[in-house]
Amino acid sequence: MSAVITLRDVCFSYDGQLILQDINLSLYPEDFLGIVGANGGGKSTMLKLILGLLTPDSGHIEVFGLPPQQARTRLGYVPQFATFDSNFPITVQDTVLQGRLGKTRSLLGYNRQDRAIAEQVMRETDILALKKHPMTALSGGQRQRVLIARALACEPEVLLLDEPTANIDPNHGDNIFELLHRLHERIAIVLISHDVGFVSRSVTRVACLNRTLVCHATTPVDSEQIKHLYSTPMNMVQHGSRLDDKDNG
Amino acid sequence: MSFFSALLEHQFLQHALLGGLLASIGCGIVGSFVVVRRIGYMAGGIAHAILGGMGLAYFLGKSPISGALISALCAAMIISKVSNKHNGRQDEDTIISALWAVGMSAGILFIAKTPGYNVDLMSYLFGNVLMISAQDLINIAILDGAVLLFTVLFFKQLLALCYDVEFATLRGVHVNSINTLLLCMVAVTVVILIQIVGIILVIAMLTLPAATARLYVATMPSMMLLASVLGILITCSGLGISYCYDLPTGATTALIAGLVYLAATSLPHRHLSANN
Repeated sequence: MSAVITLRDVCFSYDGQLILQDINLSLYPEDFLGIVGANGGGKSTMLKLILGLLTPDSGHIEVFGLPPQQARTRLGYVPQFATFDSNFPITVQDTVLQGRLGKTRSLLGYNRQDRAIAEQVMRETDILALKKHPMTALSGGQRQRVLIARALACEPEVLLLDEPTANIDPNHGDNIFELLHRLHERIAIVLISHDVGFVSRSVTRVACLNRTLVCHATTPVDSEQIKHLYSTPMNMVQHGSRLDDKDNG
Repeated sequence: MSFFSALLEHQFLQHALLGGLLASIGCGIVGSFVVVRRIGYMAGGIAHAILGGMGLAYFLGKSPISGALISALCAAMIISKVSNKHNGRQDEDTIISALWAVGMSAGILFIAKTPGYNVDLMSYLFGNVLMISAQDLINIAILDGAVLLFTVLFFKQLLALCYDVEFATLRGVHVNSINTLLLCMVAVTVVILIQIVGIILVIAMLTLPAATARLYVATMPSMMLLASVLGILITCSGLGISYCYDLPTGATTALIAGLVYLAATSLPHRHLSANN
């Protein structure tokens, strides 16, 4: 099976400060990759490099065998809602429809097919009942679902999520993971989070990122590595185990 | 009552009223984009840079409004070039400030050095809606039509640009071109509005009706519609009140727009109950 996303020896610095160093990563179509690490460890930067929003200083990135900028319409990106204007006058449906940009006609409004696809992804993410609601009236968890639906409306082959459980109360975070677990049956997923616990549920692989990337294909992260990542001892979650029956490390 | 009878009697009042109605359409549509994209400062820069073009046209004996249109579009292109290149860094702010001041100063120098009868600078700065001719009305209608056409054609992209520029980029939207288009639409609207309220008060009409409308609506099209209706009510009442009490029309209109916005923010509106 060939990799859908490949990073080889990628380095990136910002204002003279090295953010990412010698990153090597291959993502396969069946992956659900969780990337964890402390804030400021370069997680969002890595996503933006994969999306072609940033260019690496050195190294090579390929998405479906192409440079990121040429392949990015095949990726579904779910940014953090915190960066949005939460008072923007827009409904759930109109937000989701934005995922059709690039695939729909360029002049005038969205067509019937776009609306059908939007309807379908809203059903899949359990927000169909909210479709006429303004975004301002939604809870954090609902907004996150809308952004996931918008990314799915792109009909992506890989879904990239930036901290999907930030600003969501833990119960809703669990619901988001159930949704992602379902989506993983048909699509590759890359999820970044500063919260190791949240990542552990459904992911098939975990990588730890703090300037350098350490992949953990099969072996769980040990507490020494966690300490190294966060500089302080942390509660640890075994990968592949459920939150409620694990032991804290 | 006297205003209504005067309205039937005097053609200049009918023209002024019609000008206000037409301007409110452009102002509602483009003002909504200006408010949600928070580019009021850019709009201000374009408005003030216009005086340079108007002054030059006046100096050369050409029509000040065509000078205004050309300089507004030039200013919009410069600002969009800078904002596309630097992506909202500090230089953008400096460039706009420079355009603002240099345009204005150049305009004043041109007007001062124009031989013969000196035009009333005040009417450029604060508008002179009572002097609007039938030709002006036709020009305003054409500019309105252009703004409306581009909004209908590119609404998806304009909305995506304002809501989430990064996502729009990822979806293959040419965000730089759309940003330039939006600023050109702002430029055209500013040219319409300076004839109603003048350069200095353009910002009031471009932002206040839209900002007021935003408090009550959930979508951009409804925001544009409500902002246009509010614009019409504000320009009509501005004209009526200024006529009855013999006040400058532009300033009266802008003041009413400000008071309406202030009243709307202090009364209950949708945002206060949004998260219930």
